[in-house]
Amino acid sequence: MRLADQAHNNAWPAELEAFYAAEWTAFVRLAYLMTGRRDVAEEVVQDAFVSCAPRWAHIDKPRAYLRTAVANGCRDWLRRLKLDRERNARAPDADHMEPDELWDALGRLGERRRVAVVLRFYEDLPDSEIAEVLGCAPSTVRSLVHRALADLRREVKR
Amino acid sequence: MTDLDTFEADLREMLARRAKDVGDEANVVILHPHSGPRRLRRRSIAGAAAVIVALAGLTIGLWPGGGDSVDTGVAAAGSGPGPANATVVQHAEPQVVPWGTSTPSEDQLPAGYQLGSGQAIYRGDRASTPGVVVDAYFRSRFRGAPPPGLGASEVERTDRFALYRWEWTSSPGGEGDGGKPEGLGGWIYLREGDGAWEITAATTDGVDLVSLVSDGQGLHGRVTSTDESAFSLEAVVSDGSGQELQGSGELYASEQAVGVLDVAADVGPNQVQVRVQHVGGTWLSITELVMPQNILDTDLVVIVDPATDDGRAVAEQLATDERVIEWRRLEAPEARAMYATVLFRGPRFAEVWDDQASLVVYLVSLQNGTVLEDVTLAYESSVGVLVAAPLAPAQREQPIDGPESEVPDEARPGFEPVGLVVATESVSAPPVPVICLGVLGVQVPPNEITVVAQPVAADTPAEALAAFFEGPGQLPVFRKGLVELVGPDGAVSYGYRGEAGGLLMVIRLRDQSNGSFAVFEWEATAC
Repeated sequence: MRLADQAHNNAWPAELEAFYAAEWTAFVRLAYLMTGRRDVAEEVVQDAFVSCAPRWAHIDKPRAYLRTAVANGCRDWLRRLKLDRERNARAPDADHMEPDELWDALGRLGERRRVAVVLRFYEDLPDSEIAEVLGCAPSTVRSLVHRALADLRREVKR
Repeated sequence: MTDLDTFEADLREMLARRAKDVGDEANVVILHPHSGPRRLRRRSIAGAAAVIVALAGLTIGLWPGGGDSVDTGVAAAGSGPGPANATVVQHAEPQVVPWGTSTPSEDQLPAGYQLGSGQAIYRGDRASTPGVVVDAYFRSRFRGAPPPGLGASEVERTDRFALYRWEWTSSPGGEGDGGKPEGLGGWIYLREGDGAWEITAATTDGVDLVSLVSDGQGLHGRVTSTDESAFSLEAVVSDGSGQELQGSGELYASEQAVGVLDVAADVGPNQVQVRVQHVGGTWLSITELVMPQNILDTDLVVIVDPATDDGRAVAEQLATDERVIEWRRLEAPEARAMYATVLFRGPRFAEVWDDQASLVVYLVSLQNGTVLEDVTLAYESSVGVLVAAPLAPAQREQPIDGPESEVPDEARPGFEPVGLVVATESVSAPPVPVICLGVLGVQVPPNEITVVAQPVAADTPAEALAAFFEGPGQLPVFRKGLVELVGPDGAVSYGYRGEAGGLLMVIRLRDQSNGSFAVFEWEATAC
């Protein structure tokens, strides 16, 4: 049985529903900053909530868990997007871009660097928590953020 | 405020502003675990992508449905060994390849690893195309035969380099046997060498080898995986001939979707090859490369130096209230204790982090005192990697002088001495470092408080502060420019103010019952 079907057949715990209601917008904003697409952000967050529903009772830190799930979902989408663009040599999706130099530059970062930047400068997470989300060492986070900032500065100066 | 601060502030402002693109009206509670419209949108995207891929004809199906009868010999291009409905199509117009400078997964590779010059892990036959070499490589690496459903497609290619993307197109067990392994995919790097294509590295998304190091004494470090599935991860360490070495390991991923696998192998200075694969009934992924050698050389020493314009190796004596500049060599442990984060992996490889000062890192021969390599880390980029290339001393000779040739402070360009304590202030309440507030005004994360394990008593607060700094590993930053903060009850603390005036760090002293003082804890902002 697929997870979504399984979750659909079982009512969500009341705590999860409350958490969902309280945190939905915050997670969609986080995913939006990571993907640049609101529709994708909503889908990623929805998937993250669905995936955590069956194991809700065993999740100690729901916000951290959801953050990791959302980040992973965004990274998956960014990887698919990159691959799609490489295969089809299409320009970035102009429909979803408004004139914003720094925002545009953020969209050109690699998926790990972009996610690291959002977690650092939007979520204000320390290296250790970003490392947990990305599944890497804290020193790698510092490297990712440092390189991302260098990329952004270079892009903005152009 | 520096340019760096301004840029980061701009970045924060932009993110906060763009986050509001998602208005509060998004807080329409959708309590159904499944969401029809969103699912449909994903399917339409995936469907469109599949059509585009099919039309482009770029996908190479590498294996037939059954594994046992696969001919593992290298097939000619276009003649198989793909399934009946697969075609091998040459890339029509290779794009400009940024290969080697901006690769898809460079952040996952071991520090110091160079994709352009890494040793080959597999070499194809002459005249074989990159696609055929990838095919043969997979056949050689997967037990029995590569599982059906695992495919690779060319992404970029030049005369000398090629980049392939591998991923799952269906279940490894074939149709009707569950879904394909979600999230498993990666990259294969090829290079043309001496008339044949060879593979230099294979990577898997989410599998991170960045902390692995081979330092001439052994291989150590850890492999991390962000794989969300319940697959296990297996690491195999082998020598250049493919002989498996002690040190391989296996990891079962946790529910936190993050796994860590410690790898250690006593391989001496020999060449080491690492292969990491997800296992779920069969091998499901491939990560493989030859480790770069970052050899420990006892004749060399790394010197970390506050940047000066004179190019000499110097070190500051920071642990006293009288600032002394001493020209001397720093051993790695000393340097590590002095600066925020200094990761030494043997003197031929150093990664240095410091958020407070510009640094110069030198690699110096202890035999003749010549600087073999150096890297300058400016304030805005005070992180860097120094890998000692085998430079002949004559190429980069810079004599350094010993302690006997000290240069007076005033002779140093732009030198402005900064004392350990620069001012005394009265405060009306116990001082606390600035607190990071998240978007909702919540403290995120909490400040970090470190309790001093073995307080050292002294007669005065200043002496207690100096004694605290002299202890090993105590607060390696903020060792100058401190402000003495005297509370209404006479309690003394020392703080370091940031550019905006807020306290970044507070060192707290306790007045002992016998009239002496001691540092008992320090607190730093988590911003």
